Amino acid sequence: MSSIIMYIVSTVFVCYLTFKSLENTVIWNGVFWIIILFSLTNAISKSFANENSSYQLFIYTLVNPRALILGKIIYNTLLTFVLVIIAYLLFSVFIQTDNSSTTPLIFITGLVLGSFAISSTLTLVSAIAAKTNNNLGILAILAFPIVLPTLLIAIKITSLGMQGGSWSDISDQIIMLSAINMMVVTLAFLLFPYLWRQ
Amino acid sequence: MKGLWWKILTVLILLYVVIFSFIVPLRPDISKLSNTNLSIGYNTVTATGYNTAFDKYTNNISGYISYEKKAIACLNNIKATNNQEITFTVNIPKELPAKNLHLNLSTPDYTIFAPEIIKVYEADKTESFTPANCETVNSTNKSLGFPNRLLLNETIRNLMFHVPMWFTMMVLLFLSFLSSIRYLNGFNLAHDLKASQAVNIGLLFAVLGIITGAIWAKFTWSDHTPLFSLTGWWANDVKLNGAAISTLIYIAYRILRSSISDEHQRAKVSAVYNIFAFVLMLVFIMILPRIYDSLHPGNGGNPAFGAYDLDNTLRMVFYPAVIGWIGLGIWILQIKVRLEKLNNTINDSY
Amino acid sequence: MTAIKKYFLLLLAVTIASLGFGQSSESGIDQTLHESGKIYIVVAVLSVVLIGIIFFLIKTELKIKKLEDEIRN
Repeated sequence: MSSIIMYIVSTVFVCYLTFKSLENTVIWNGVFWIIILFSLTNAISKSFANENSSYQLFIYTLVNPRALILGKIIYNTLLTFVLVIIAYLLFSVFIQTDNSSTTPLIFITGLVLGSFAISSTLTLVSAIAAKTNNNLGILAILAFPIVLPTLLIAIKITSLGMQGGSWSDISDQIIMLSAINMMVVTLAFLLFPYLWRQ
Repeated sequence: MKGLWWKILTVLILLYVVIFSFIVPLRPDISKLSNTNLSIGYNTVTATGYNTAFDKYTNNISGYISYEKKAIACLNNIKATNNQEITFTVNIPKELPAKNLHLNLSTPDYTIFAPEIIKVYEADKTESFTPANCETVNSTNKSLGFPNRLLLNETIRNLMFHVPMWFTMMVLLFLSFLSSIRYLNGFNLAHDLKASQAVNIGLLFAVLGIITGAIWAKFTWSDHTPLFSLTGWWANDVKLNGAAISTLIYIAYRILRSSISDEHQRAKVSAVYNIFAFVLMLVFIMILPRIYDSLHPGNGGNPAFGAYDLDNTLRMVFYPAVIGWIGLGIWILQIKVRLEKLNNTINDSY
Repeated sequence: MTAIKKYFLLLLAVTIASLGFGQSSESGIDQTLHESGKIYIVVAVLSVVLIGIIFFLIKTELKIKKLEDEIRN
């Protein structure tokens, strides 16, 4: 946990030293979400890798794999929320942008839906990547192209929230993001038992 | 000989497609006027055409300038100077319904309609104008041809070689998705083999689609950029970006496969990833145009897409092209699957 | 990594092949491609597709040759 927070702090500081302020809210949100994506990839890559096989066998006899994946998703999402809040605070302190017309509720909705979608996708993909020997590298390769639609919609919602858009402007995006969330959870729920069975 | 018929059909269809996409000419069209901004009164204009064969119809060309299907002024003294050029005079009236007008030409074999090619900036705009009564040559629109669109010109034929690459890729990836589902329903390694080979062939078609698209885009929308510079090869198009992402996803799939050594484990893990990735890729392809349309309002102005599926002649070649290329893709897939099966049995027996 | 290398090579091969198109003409490829309603672009595109598929066929044949050698030994 502390290593991930260090990761966020150093990334934000590098951004701060590079460009100090970003007037364009879309670029601000883009950089912000990319930092979140990279730090989450680091954080979630550990969720299946740290368990050695005897421990896994022990868990396997105890719990249903579906309960396990749901538990992992919920845990990772809570972790994600904490990291996102920290990243948001750091990023807005260090990097100035034009947020005078922000609609906070829209921005928060975007953050919550987006980070939930990213964390649940990464959870399933990290379960896949844990089966290989090069965990972190494979996770990034597998997850980034898949996570892209989520990321684009999340950037769109949060930057519209910052530009003072109204709910009717982004209702489409919110519906799409919620649909992606449900689909990812359903797929994880259906597919994870196949990964768990050795 | 069972199972051979569709391969013969594929070859015949592709033969038909290649031949017809080259021999069908573009419809005659006006590509240039010597003077597009006409003044009130008499004007002498030279029009340059494409595939027009004007000299064949020396005394048989008629034409008029129109607005919303009503003739406004007749073309007089039409003379064909060579097979591509005619000169004519036209008397523009003072009162016109609009400043942008259409040019109509007819010969015994074809008619040309060039929308909004003529501008009369100094005209008085009025609702009431007197329609002209022009003599027109009776024409039978019998010539077969592909539409001649601005910027695209002859490259509209690429439709038959570039677009079906994507259809074939999607069909192969869908077959791979189905095979992955079937693998998870019984753990038969033959289905896993089919899934992985379908992805390989799908990637082949994806790479071909990207390269052909880059060449087409470079010489259509980035004409002004120098040939050997790196700009202009990547058109900022929604479909291209979607295709690039799908290619990345399936290269990742191949890397995942190559990093697991146990074959049952590899089959299971890659099947799970394949199903997950395919569903999310479909979502991505569906939502991508929506996001970008709303990010850049009025980002249209793209003459290539959306308009050509309306044309019947094009359809007659384009639909067989799609079927033919898909057939070829499935044929290659079948050969590869059979080869790999043979490979496995030989390696097992040693 | 072999996957990326292979596709990158394929991409390189066909791009170079398509760039070499019409080099012989003195006015340069730039003009050749733009005259006569850009018909040469269609030829280039079709050649790229053919080169790609033939490249793939050669690869498959090499694989078959390897199998044949294995059986013979």
